[in-house]
Amino acid sequence: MTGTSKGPALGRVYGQILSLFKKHPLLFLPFILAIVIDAGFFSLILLAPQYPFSLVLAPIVRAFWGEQFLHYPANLFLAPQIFTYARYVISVTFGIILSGLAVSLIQQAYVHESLSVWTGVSKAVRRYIRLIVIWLITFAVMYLAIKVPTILPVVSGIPLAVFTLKFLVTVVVQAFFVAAVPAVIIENKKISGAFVRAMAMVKRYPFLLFFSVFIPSVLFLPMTAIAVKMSYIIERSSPDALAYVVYLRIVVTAVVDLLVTAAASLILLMHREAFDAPNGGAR
Amino acid sequence: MNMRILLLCAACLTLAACSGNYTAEKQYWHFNRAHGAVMRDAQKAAPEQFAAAAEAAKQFIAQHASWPNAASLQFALGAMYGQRGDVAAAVKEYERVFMYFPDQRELGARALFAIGELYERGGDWTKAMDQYQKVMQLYPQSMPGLQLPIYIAKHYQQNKDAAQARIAYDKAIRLYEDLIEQNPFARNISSLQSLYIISYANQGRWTEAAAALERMAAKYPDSEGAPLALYRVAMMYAGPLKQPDKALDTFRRIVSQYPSSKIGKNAQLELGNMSIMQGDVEQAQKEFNTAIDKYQDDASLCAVAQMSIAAALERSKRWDEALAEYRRVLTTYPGTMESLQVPLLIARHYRMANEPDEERAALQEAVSYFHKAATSDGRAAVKAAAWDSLAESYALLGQWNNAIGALDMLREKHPGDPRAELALARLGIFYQEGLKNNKKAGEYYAQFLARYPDHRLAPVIRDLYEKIKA
Repeated sequence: MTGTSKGPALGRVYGQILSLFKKHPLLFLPFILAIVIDAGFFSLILLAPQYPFSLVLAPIVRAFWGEQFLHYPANLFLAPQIFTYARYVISVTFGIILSGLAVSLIQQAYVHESLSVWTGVSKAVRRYIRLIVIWLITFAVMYLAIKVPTILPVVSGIPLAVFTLKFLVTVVVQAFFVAAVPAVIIENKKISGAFVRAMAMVKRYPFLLFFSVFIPSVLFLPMTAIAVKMSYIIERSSPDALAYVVYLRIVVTAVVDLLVTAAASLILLMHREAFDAPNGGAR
Repeated sequence: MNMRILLLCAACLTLAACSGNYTAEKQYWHFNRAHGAVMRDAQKAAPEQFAAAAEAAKQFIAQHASWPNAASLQFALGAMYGQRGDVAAAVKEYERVFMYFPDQRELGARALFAIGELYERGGDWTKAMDQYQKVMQLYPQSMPGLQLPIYIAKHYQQNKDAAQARIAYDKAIRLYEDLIEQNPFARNISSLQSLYIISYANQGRWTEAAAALERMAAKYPDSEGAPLALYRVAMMYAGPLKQPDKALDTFRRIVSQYPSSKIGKNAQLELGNMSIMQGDVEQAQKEFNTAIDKYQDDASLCAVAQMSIAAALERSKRWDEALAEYRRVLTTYPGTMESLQVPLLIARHYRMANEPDEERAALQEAVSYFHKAATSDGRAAVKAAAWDSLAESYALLGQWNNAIGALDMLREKHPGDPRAELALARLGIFYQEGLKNNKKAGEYYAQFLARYPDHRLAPVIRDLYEKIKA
């Protein structure tokens, strides 16, 4: 056990993340795998116009979007959009398992100091249904919540205000649900129990959870700035820049996921250590 | 083990070869960005710019000779030298089109024709004729090969050589007649008929043209060319021959002989149009209603007929009746492309009549109609057109943000539709003209030019973009 008996605080949480990841580089594994899977899928989308990938992918692109998107540079403009759809599929399959594995590895590192990937994977697979339901509910709430800024008459005509509000809404919704996955993996909670636990954590540590999501999410802001300036970037370089930006976004997303997942897991573990279980709740 | 490595190498090489077209497209994009302006207007380019562009084009063609568009680039290279007045270099590059790309016969014919044109422009008609003869001998079925007999006859006509012109036209007529006779069911029968008519029409011999076409239609009544020939005869009677009664008779013949063909249906519509031209709105209504009753399964045609009734009434200043007919199009044929024209036609009427309140109400009605059509379960093309029209309606109302939103939806929901291509340019225009936001407009123009550098509107958008940047 590497923790202390005090309750969680932001500085301590990030200090703990730093020391755990330094001591156990294996903790990076789920996030590196996420980058590899995301980048692999995106590369496949980019290769859709080229043989032999075109045998399978070209008819799909042709049927849904048209022949022009199988040619340069139109395919590059469509690729990020297709990748957005592909990412939903990746999230509900590999993403959920990797998320469960990450939480489990962090728990193992925090409690035992020795890591077993197999234990993490088997835990995530056995609790897959619960994890997927949590993901779907979070996704649905997020989907509806980010619509609100666009229909609010006060801000709907001001793009910067809509963007800022959307960003904050995303952070708040994520903060509300962020402890649910650790609750399933660490405490073996059922679906309702995981949500109750997540809410209880929000009630107890509202600012801590908010900032544990907000701070890493700030990394997305430069990506948004790049997206806004994309046409100028293309003009000064080439449409290939679109692909490089997506690859960069994949890495940034993994870094944000790492920080958010690790922080949420450690907040729960520290809380348990301080107030609930005597041994950090290892199961 | 060695065998495996060999197989792996072979697979890699195959993959590399197969991705060649995409690589060529990518490199062409960069080539076009660097030298596109020179390619488009070689005459104005500085000598060093021209030399760089020509060299880059030659290198590109050498590297990507198997790319399907390499032959077009080779042709463009010939045209570049032609624009600079370097006939020898142009001929050399044009010759490479049919020498290096013999499978691209249409382009080969165009290259040979272009060589002839270069000589003709240089005043050497004999040398030009040699090339034209070659086109007709080597590529008789190509478009330049088919058009050349008329081109040559016209040359004599323009040079006031009536005897030679007559000989050349007669030769052309015989050629087209032979080609039609050889295969009256050919796929290019429509083009051949057009050329045949032009050969007569250029000499003002309309009566003979009509008679010849009637003969053809009578000889091969089951061919696709037969109703088309009769349709053209009717149009000649209605137009240059100024015999509307004969035109009506011929249209009626088509309707009775070929009732279910596309031409037969169009002939029924023409009966209505003819009546409008004769000022007989009641008869026109009758003809259009016949079309509606007869071709109920063809919603698109019925919508056209219904709209024609409305337009006829509008033209004869019976707006209330016209409006009722327009509204009937909207309610009876809601899923058709034609119905999408109606809301803006109504708004336009009020604008022309200088009734701003009515126009505004019509545009608001148009907005709700287009929104419903865009989000319905109809055909994708109709829905894309509905988003497009919705943007137009919002723009006419001055609601630029909504207009932009509609174009964004069009691009998001129907990225493959040609309207989505144009939407990028229109977004730029809306930002520039509607919202006075040149920065944002520039971004959209830049995006449009990056994505569609060869679009027909690219020069216009390039101009707008340059002005904004300046």
